[in-house]
Amino acid sequence: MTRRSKPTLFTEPDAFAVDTSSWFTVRSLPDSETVWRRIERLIKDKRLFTCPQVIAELRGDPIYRTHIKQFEKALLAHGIRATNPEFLLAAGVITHDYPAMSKARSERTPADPYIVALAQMQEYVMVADEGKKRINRKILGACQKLGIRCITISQLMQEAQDGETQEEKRG
Amino acid sequence: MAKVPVNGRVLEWARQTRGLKLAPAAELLNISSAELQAYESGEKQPLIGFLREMSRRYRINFTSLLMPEPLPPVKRPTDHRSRFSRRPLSIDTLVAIEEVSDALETFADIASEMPRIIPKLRIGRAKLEENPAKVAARERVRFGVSFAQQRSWKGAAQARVRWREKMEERGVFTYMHKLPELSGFSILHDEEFAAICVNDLEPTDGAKIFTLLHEYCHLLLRNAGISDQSDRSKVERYCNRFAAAFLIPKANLLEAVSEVVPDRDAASPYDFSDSHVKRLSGIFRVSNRAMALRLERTGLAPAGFYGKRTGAWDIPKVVEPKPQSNNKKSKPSAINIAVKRIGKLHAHTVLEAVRLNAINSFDASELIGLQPSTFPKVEAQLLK
Repeated sequence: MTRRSKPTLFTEPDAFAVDTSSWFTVRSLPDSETVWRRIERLIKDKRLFTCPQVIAELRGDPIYRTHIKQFEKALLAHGIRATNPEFLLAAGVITHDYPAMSKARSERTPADPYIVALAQMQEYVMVADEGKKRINRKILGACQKLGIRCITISQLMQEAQDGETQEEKRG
Repeated sequence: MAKVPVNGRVLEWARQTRGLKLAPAAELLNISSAELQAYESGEKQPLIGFLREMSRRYRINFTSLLMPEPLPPVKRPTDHRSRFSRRPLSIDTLVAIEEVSDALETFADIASEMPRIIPKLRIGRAKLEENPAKVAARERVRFGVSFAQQRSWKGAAQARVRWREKMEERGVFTYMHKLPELSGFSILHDEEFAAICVNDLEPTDGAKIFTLLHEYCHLLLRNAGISDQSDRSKVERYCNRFAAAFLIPKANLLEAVSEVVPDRDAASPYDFSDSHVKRLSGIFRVSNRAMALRLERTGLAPAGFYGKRTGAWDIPKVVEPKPQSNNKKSKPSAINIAVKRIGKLHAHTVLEAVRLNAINSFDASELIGLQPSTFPKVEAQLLK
C-alpha cells in the first residue's frame, strides 16, 4: 500500500475517508457555512467518502438530517459494499490489531475499524478528530502504524482552501 | 447473503469470552451443538447474517467475530466469591464488567485531554491488619454524614440514593446492573479512576446499600474485584465488617438498642428477635443482615447470632410475580432507568464532556444508553 501525501500540482488530488468524530467537529469550527460549502465541493468532486457504519452513528444527531442525508449516496459511492467479505475481513484484522480502538470485547460495534479499513483499501487519507493523547486507543494511532495519513477536519479544510487558491492562480 | 471465511477459533473465543459452554451457546443461537462445533472447527463457513445474529446473542462486537486470530485472554477482576461453589459468571455480568471498565477507560481518555472534566478520586486507604471498625469510623468522618441525617432519610430507598451521592462525591462512579451470581464488583483503574457496581437484583435497598459500602472497602484495600459477601473469605469478611460498622456506628447502635429494647440487661449479650432486628435496621436504613452482623460484632448479641438469624433468611422465598400495571405513571421512565443504572456522576461527566466537545454526541449516547435528543431531560433529572 502506498502512503498518500499532500497533493502537489503534479499528483492526483487526495481522496478522504471521514470518521464520525470529524463530522461532529465541523459544528464547532468557525464559519461553518464555508466549511460545509467546501465539504460539498469535495463530495461532488468524489474526493470525500465515509462508510455506512459512520452514517449509522450520525443518524441520531440533527447533523444527519441537515447535512449528511442529502449526500449519503455520494458519500458511500466509493465502490465498496458494506457486505463485501474482503472489506469485513479487513475490519476484522484492524479489530484484532487495534482492540482498544475497536472495543473488541465490548457489546457494541464502533465504526472505527470499518472506516480505517476503507481508508486502507482505497488508499484514502483518514480524517479523524479524536484528540492526540492515548493514541493507541484511537484512529490516529492505528493510522500511524498502518502508514495511512491521518488529518483533522481543520487540516482538511486548510488543504481544500489551498487547492482552491491554486485553482484560482491557474485561472 | 455471502459466506465469510472466518476463523472458527475466533468464534470459539467469542463464546468463551462470554463464559458460554458449547451446548448453552448453541441453544442461544437456535442451532445444534454439532452445527456450532462445525463453525468453530472451520468445517462450515457462516453467512454474514448468522454472524450478525451471533454478535447480537453473544452480546459481542461484530467485527471481533471477523478477526483473523483470537485475542489473548484478558485479566478479569479478582473473584472473591466462595458461595454457591462460585457459579460461572453470566453474560449479563461479563457484559456489565466490560461496560464499566470501558467507561473508566473512556474517562481516562477524556482526562488525558481535559483533566478538569473528570472528578478526582478522593478515597482513603486501608489494610487488612487494621481494625475494620476503626477504618469505618475514619471513613464515616470523611463522608460527613451524621446519624441524625441518616435517620432523617425517608426509608431505605432514599438512603440508597443519598449514600450513592455521597460515594460519588468521593469521585467513585457507581452503577447498578442485574448481576445474577454476585452481590457486586469494584474496579480500580490506574489508582485514578474507580467504579462500584451493585447488583440491582438484590432483594432490598438495605442490601444494595450494604453492597455499596462493602465494595467501597475493596477500593480502600486496593483489592477490587467480584464479591458475594461470604464470611468464608478473609477479604470479604473484612469488607462486611467495615460496611456494617460504617452504616451502624457503635455509639448510635447502643442508643437505638436502648430505644428498641429498653428492659435489656446491658451487662450480657441479648438474643434479639427478628422483629427487634427489623426495627433496628429500619432506624439505620440498612438490611437486616447488616444489623444482625453488627449486633454480633459489637457483642450486643451472642456469638453465632448472625449465622443463626441469617440462616433462616437464606432460604429463598417463593415470590409471586407482580401483575403488570398498565398505568403509565407507575412505570419509571427510560431516563430514570438509565440514570439509576449508570449513576449521576457518570451521566453528569458524560454530558459535561459533550458540552466541552471532549466527546461527540454519538459516543455520549453510547455511554448513557439514550439518544442525544433526550440529553436535556437527563440533565433536568440530574438537577432534581
